[in-house]
Amino acid sequence: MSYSTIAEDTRPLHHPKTWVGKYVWSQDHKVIALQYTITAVSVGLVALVLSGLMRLQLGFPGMIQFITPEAYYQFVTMHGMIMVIYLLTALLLGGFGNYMIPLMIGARDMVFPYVNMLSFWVYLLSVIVLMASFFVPGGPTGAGWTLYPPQAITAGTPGATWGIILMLASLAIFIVAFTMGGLNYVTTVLQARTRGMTLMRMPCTVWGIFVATILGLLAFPALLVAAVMMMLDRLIGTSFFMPSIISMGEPLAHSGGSPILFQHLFWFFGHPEVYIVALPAFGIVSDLISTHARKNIFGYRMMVWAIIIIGGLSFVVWAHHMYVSGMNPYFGFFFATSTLIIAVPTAIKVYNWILTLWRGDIHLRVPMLFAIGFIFTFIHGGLTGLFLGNVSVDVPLSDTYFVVGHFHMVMGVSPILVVFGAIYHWYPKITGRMWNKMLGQLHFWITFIGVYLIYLPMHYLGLLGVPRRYYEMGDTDFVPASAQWANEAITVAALTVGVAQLIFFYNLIHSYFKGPKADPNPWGATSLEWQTPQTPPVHGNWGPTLPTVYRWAYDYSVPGAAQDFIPQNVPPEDMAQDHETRGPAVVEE
Amino acid sequence: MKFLRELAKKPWLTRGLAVGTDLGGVAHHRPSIAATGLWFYIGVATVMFSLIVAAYVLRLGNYGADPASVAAATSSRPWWTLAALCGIPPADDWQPMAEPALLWMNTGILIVSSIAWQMARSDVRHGRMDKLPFTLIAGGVLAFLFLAGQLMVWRQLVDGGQFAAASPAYAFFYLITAMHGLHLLGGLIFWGLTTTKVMQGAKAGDVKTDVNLCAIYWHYLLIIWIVMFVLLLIT
Amino acid sequence: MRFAIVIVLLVIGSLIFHFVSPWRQTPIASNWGEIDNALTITFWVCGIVFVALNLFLAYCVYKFRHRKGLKATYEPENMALEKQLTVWTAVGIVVMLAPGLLAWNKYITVPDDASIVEAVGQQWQWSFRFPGDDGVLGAVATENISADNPFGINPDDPWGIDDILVDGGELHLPIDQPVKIVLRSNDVLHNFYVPQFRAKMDLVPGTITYIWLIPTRTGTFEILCAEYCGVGHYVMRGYVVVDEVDEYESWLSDYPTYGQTIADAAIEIGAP
Repeated sequence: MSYSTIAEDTRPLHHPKTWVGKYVWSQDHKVIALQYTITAVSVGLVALVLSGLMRLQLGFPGMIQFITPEAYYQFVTMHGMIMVIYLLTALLLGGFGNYMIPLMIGARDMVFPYVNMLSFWVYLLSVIVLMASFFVPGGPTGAGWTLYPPQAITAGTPGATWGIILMLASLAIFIVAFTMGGLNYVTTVLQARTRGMTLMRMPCTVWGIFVATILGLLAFPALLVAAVMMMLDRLIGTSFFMPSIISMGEPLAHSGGSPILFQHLFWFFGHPEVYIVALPAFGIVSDLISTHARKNIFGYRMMVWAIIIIGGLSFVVWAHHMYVSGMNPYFGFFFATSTLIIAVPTAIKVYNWILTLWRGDIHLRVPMLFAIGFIFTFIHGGLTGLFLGNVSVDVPLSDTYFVVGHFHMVMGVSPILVVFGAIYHWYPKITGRMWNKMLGQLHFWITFIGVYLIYLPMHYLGLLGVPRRYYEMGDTDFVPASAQWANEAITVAALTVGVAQLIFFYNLIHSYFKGPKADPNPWGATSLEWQTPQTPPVHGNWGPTLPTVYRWAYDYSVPGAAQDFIPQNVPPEDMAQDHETRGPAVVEE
Repeated sequence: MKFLRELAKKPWLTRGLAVGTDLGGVAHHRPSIAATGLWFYIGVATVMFSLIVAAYVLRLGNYGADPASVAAATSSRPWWTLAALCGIPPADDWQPMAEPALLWMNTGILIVSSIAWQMARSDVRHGRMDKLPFTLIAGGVLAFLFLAGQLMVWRQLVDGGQFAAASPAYAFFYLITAMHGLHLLGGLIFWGLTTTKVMQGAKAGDVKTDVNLCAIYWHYLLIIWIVMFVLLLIT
Repeated sequence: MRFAIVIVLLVIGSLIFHFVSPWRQTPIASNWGEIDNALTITFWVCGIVFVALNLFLAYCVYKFRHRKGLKATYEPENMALEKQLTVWTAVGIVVMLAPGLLAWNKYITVPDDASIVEAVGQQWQWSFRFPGDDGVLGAVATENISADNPFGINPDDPWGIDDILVDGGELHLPIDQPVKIVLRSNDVLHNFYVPQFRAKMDLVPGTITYIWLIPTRTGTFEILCAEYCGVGHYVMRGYVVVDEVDEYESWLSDYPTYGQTIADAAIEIGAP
């Protein structure tokens, strides 16, 4: 039998000799993952600071001199774009995807390590181009993260000269980087699983990242096409998206283009993008809940199917972002229906997370705190999505703070809570050290309570009718003075949460040098990444032989077993027996 | 279907190696890693070109503001209804582009290039390593010739004052040819790597996958080009 | 224990906040009660689910917290339960979706007796055009826009001559009469948004969009732009004044027709 050949033969590993080769031009998926993570988090911190400045303007208008309307809209735009694409997408797929996929499926590395390395460097280039736009004349674009033309490239919008060009270029570069990474992730999942690792034995984390990557591969081309076409409109005067208009009293040379065409392209990417961020988070949180509740994820098959169905449906709901955009009004019926249908598999996932806790043995460790916090915020964000997806209910709420509250709950806070939980969860494996528990709990409670205080009132401001993307409300008849108190309170909460993240960074950095040595498998987890011979895992991950998988990833609290978990690479007959001498076994139960 | 059957399995019931019960996991019959990557990339590129076609058709559907002309337009060209459905606004600036005769020649060159790749495939399959360098070089050089031809078309158009901003048909023409050309250039990188390997005396087994995948990619780009060319011709 | 209590407190806090917060929908001033009803139904369905799921979550976190000797149950799945949950979720979805779609159908179907008014958006102000006695708006084109012809009306179109032009950002509408508001932009995307009317729609350059409504109460309501349109987005305001019919008519008679503005311009040019 030759079934081990491909799994073993991942070609000779590239073994660098120098420090630069090991940590800079590295082809090791774990180093690349950390490079992605550090870059994404750094640029995310910029976006966090921008959001703090925006909140200062909204809570205390005019208090800070340099936040002019131009600056405010530039902050809005850069905050949104960085958070969605350069932080969340890059972190969840480039960071977690890179680190976890090979370890969880029992591979030595990604299948195309060189392309993987290129992917990171191209991503870094896109970040540098984006950051450069802060320093060009006119500053970064202030077109809103949706970059709707004509406004994005006409006078009257900040950064319409240089900022928008750098933004579009950066997006195009990012998409190239993502495509290189993404091809790696899907091919690795399909082709490099170790012996016995069937698709249905993969942990939910791998499923989530796998399906999200496919979504990304199929959705980002829409953004690329839109970006290239807008770039041509801006630079050489084509009219893809530009109708004939008067800008600042001057007629422009464009004619006949369609701004709505851009919106269709943008949201054909933009809606799957929500799930590109959400699905990895769904997968990761499933594993956190299962591990720390000492119970298999409830309805594993349903969870996998739901991920696939949500991924498929996410391509037929895009125009629910466009109910009041002036598109054909009859689209509303179709897209409202498809959008509410997608709520069903999503709800199933929520039920199954809670049902995993039901009759479990819940250890409320820090990662679990974040996981349960996620369930709460995701229920909230998911339900408010039903308001906005239901076409006529969306009419009064669209473009108000209700929308801002909703999407921050569902695709800002929720995935970020999972990211925190995941970092606490895997930190001992990645660094070999344990973090400080007290600081972790403090970080959780401030963040969790804080974000709810930020976003819950926003929904009610939106219900009142306060529109989003307003530099200041000024005197508006229907807005009572009390709304300004809400804005002040939100700002205070936001700044508190922002500053509290220092606890997190302190904890990670301090523990890296001074933390106690971590157990190789501190949570008693079953999945393969905890079974590496070394902690942290070394280049090649598995020592001389790859692990063999004998069971699914959720053998927790199996009746009759000595421990409350059985790792995936433990053969079935008898845990005490040495399976090396018995050879691979086939047991049907 | 195999995939769906796999998804219906209850993984907690089967412990052990589960040989033969899964897709992969054991190594019976897996396509090569590079092939999987290529097919996924073809998927990505197909989405991209399809979206350009969709944008093209929608932009094409910009008909006159007068309701009567809308009705006339949509009845004579049914695909224009798609634009109306999407709420794409009325305009009547669509001018069909003049089709340079050189495009026919370029299409022919690309077809011959694809044929050369098919021959290279057969050479490698039958171990004709002496012939392989010639067919490979023919395939690559013809592709470069195609690109040069496309550039000449651009030159002709620009000399004739037909810039991208002149009319949407030209804008799309430049966009499509540029995107297609970039994809072909990407393919030529792999052509260079493969040809170098062959020139350095690689055995048939070592380059079989490379040649096969390059050939598939070339055929794919030929199909994309023909679809795009037909689209340009009929509109 | 602590976490369970926090979740319960957050649920109770959210409910209290929902009922006592001073920030709720403005009193409605149009016929779009259906939209509010659909919103209310959605609030009830989602509110019940929110409370039920989170209380169950809190219960689980409390009841199954780790103690010595506690062992989790081994239960891979329960298809019967999952099917039931799917069905009940689907029922909840239908209960919300049906009124939403019915309201939408009405929202996009303009009654035949609706009068017409055009709202024009331009960075960063509103202006309005009434069709005049013939009830038809004259043809417009961006190319026609000039200082003398800010609406871009085609001077050769006979339908346009009697169009009444209202510059200055204040629009009057008669109470209890259906009106179709035709939306047009000269530059970038805008959105015609009056919170009390509930209705809302983008203005898209290059095309014409619309909303329709019946004003149901007199008063002055602020128009806001609800689609980001550049740096002056937040100051792009206007007013809708809903009048009794006779007041409305006397207001409208103060404004010139397009024909009159051409004549005035001609006089100015002709004057020595």
